Amino acid sequence: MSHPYSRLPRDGIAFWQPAVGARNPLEIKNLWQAKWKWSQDDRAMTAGSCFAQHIGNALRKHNLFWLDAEPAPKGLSETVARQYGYGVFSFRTGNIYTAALLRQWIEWALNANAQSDECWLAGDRAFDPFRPAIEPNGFANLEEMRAARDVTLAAIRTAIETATIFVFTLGLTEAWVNRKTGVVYPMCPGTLAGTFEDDRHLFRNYRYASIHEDMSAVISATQRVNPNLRFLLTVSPVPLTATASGYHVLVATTYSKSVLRAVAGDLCSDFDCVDYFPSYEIITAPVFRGVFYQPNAREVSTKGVEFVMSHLFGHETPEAAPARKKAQPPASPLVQSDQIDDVQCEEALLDAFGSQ
Amino acid sequence: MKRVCVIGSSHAGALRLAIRQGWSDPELKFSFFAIHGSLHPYLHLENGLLFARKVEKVQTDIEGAATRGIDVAGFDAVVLSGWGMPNALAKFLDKTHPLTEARCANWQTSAEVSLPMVSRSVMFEVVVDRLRALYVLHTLRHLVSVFSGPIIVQQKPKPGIVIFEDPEWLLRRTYGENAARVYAEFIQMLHRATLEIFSTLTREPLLLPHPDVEGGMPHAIPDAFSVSPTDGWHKNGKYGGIVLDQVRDKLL
Repeated sequence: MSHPYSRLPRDGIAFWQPAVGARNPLEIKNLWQAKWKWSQDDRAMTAGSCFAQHIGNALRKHNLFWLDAEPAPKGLSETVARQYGYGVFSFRTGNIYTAALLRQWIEWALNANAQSDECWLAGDRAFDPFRPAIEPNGFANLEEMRAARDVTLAAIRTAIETATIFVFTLGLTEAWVNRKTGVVYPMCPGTLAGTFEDDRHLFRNYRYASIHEDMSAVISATQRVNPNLRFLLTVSPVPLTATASGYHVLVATTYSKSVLRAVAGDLCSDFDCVDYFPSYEIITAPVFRGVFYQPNAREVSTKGVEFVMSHLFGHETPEAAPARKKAQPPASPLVQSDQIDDVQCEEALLDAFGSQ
Repeated sequence: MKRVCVIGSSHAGALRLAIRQGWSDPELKFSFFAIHGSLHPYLHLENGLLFARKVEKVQTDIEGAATRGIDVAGFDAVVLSGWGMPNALAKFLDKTHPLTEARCANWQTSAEVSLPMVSRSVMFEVVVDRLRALYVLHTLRHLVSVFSGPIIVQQKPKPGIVIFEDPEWLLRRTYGENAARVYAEFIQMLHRATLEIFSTLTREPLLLPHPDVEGGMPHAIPDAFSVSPTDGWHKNGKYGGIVLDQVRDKLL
């Protein structure tokens, strides 16, 4: 009897047993059917949750062009630069965990919406509510905070205008917003900085439709500026540090990642310019038995990151790729030096602020 | 009487001039070991002796020190003169000065100059990192490791006012009329950054503040303290004497 499955190659990717069950997990192949090839001329910008930081590092390791639109000032050591959010993503937004926050940054950068004038003061220091960890001790004052944010918004614009690939890692569905203004925060006010107030701050657990709408808005807005920009979406395999949903954090993690995964998959189907890379599956699939997690079963190990990147760049056999002949502008000492793999993860600081 | 060894760059010249012009204290005897050049004093340590690799640049009144090295154990105190970043001259050093690489939010540049804006904290960290990379810090580390007596550090002096009137001066070209205010803030940053670095050494040296000279300003001091009308960076014996007074106050 003939049916669609009988026409599929028996040793291909469609059947579990030959593709997964009968294989050494480390030898599972073709997990990603890339929509387009990553070329040596591509210029990639990166943003998103903690896990996205690994992608920028990997790009540099593989001699691919990682766009540093807001480079650290010359003379700043790499370690200190990263403490101040330089060289972590393509611009100094800090981690962007939610689609809503990404949309907010993009709309501010493209002047589609007026940016918020909210500022969190602590003594004589000023913290940016939308990237509270970017200056570990806060800004000198409100004017400096605003001027620095303008620099970052300009860098986002530059990145959008000049990049050919936007790698974005979706991290969370949960966020906190301002009840009155509607602005989205990356962190719950009162954790890293600011003060939490019940009557000002509202918990949101974004649903599929809302996230899909936010991401679609981002794709449309950026494509209007740069029609050649393609998106590579990933979902962070890093579980939630804490949830305010009322559910067990493990259950909340499954909800969050499932929704994000579904949105990413559908965006990939909806837009020719969007591809999905399965970093989430590579780390979390049962066949890998959690070996790519650190002992706390949350953070991804270096081996895990390397394994993910081998699948991401395996198509291009990056080890064999010649060193780029072109200079890597904008010049930054960060781009040229050895990488630091410690990841700036503000969300993890929730542990430090959670109840005992 | 305490024997004091002054190890320094060209800026040690002001202290030497002061003594030649009559500054003295019966309780103190100064000896000098100076190496000219913006990155100096850069000394190496071998068998407990500090020595310069380029002997021809050494000016010293310590017998044999130029070739054999300085044995600081023979002194009661050491003054390290010339601590600080290479000055923002209008030549090759331009490219290495932090004030020409980035600006703080309230540092308005000239209309034709565009610099990336960084926070004050980031600029401070840049200054700290630049100071950490200085050769003179290697010398200071060596001193701390071999010398148990007081180590007094003199910063490079503030420039003369004439420097700020030079339209070709790099920072004047970069910041225009704001150069004085920017440089004043930079001097404060340097001081704080220095103290931060010193606090990480196994033994903390004594940092002399910029002397409070007559007519002095946050960014500069009067040209009456310059070694010549055309050199606003190096100071004369009058200034050197004020620094020696500071040293005496630390030691006696």
